[in-house]
Amino acid sequence: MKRTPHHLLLVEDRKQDARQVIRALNKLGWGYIPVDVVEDGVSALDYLFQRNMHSTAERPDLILLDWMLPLKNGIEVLREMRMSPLLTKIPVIIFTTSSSESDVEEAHAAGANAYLRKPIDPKEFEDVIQALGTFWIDHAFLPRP
Amino acid sequence: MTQELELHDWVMVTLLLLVCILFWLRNKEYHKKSLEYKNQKELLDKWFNSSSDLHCTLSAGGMFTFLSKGWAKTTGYSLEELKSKPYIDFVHPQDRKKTIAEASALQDTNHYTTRFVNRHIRKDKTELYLEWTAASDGIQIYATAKDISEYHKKDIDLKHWLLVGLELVATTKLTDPEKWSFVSKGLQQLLGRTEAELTSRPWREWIEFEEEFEEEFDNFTIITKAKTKTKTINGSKIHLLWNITQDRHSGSMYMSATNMTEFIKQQEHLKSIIHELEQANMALSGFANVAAHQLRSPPRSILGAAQIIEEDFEIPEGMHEYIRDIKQDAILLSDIVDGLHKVSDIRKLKGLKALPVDLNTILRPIRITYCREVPDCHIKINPDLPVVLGDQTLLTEAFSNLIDNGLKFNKSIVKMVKVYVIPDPQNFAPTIIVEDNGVGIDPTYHKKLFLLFERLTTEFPGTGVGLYLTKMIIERLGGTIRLESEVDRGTKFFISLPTHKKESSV
Repeated sequence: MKRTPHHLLLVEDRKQDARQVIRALNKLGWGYIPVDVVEDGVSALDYLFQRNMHSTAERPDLILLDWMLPLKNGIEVLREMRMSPLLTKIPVIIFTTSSSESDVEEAHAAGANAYLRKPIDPKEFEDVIQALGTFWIDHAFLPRP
Repeated sequence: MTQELELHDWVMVTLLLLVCILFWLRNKEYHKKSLEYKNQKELLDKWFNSSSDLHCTLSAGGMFTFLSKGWAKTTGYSLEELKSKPYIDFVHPQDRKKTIAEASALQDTNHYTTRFVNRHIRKDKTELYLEWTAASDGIQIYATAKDISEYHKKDIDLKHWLLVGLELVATTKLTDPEKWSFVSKGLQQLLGRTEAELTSRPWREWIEFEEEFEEEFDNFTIITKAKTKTKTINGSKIHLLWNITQDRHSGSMYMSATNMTEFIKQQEHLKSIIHELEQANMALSGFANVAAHQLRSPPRSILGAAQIIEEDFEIPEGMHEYIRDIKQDAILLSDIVDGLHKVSDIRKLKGLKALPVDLNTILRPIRITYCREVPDCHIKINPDLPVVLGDQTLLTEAFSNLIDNGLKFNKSIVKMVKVYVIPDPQNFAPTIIVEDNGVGIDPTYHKKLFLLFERLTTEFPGTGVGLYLTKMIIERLGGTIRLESEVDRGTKFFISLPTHKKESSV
């Protein structure tokens, strides 16, 4: 039986973008899944390693990770995650404005599960969230966090 | 009695005859020997007189006893004149002392003179340099001399030249390889010191070695190249590159230098310029990075917010127009940022690998993309486009821009873009033509057309990045682009790109 993911982590420094993602998720019918937002790379790692302010945080089923972040950027967070046996299997989707080929290469080399670009057009933005939710929430079998 | 006498006579006659025969035989032998001797003398004479060397014998009293004919030609005196006076009278007054010393050394029959050089005065008063080899048997001196005046003349010229010219040369003597024995005028001037000063202290005190590379040259000499740094008397720094030829046996050296100061100064200047450029470039790519990531988000948020307002709220009368403006400009802003991002991406590309790209496979998808959006689509692509060397993504970008422009800057009822090829006879660089029936461009502005952010009209939307990007891509791939266009007559872009064929034949 497929396990329903019950917790998403959104690592996103721009509140507007985070709001847009959450709005789209709600609008598309995934509002029942709690989404936690952290705004920089260090907080993201604290959250995942359950340290400092985030000592009581729950490990997420799926992570949406921005690329450009304060303190530690997406690739650094991803690398540290993939080095830890606790976090290595959590699926990470890079969700960023950059479409540069080198970033795509780097992300996959570091162990990203997918790389999605945030579209400019609001309609397309929703389309991407739709595709993402359909695949990763509705259909994909995710490992236990 | 008579018989006895007869016998006696016979004996006498026979003896006499025997003596005669012996005498004749001896005479014959002597004659033969004297002939041989005569032949040898002739041979020697011939040899002495035809040789370019000067041969002679001298008596213990210092008079010529034999002279080969060359002496007359070389000295200008006749052989009789030469034999009439002691040899020493013909020697240059300044060299007489050492000549007498060498001659007295020859009294020891074990002494051989080699490479002894002295000067003489010719009949025309000019100097004659002779180099001697000689030996003595205690009675006579047997000597051969060589005229080396020409050599000496050249030597003098060279030395003279180094004394007046600006060449940087110094030599050391075998007796003291640590100190210079001669310093050319040029080197004296450069170091700002007199020859006396420079020869008084070890030369390594005047020049500080930075690097030395030894190159073994042959059995006799070692050649070393060396870089040196020197402070002159007025404190300025001089960089010299030396060629040092050292005699293996004696250790004496011939040193010549090239002044590299200007060169090194320029090199340092260039280095600092390169450093500055690198800094500027880093700042630029930092900016491009910001453009790529940070500047992209705000227009997206603006668009998103506008969308949310439209969807979730009731819009008062007259506000829709403004929301449309906000959206339009957010899109334009994001297009500009996108263009900048592409420019910086292409700039950043290093060691781009040019691979064979079939232009047909690039242009067909472009056509499909455009024709999906435009109902009455007239993009004609000739099916015989060549395979060129390049990069698929970049070439797609370049050709998309040209086709996009052809359709965008176009007021014809049937908007048309044609892509075809003019084959090159050698097929090295065929010219690909992208032709449209658009509004055309005034030739006055053709040069401006390819500049970044340059827009020639406000009638059509645009960012002024497309053609700049296209030109940059074509040139990065080793190709060229030019155009022919006039107002209302459409535009033709001529693109030539290196082909696969050329590469494989090179």
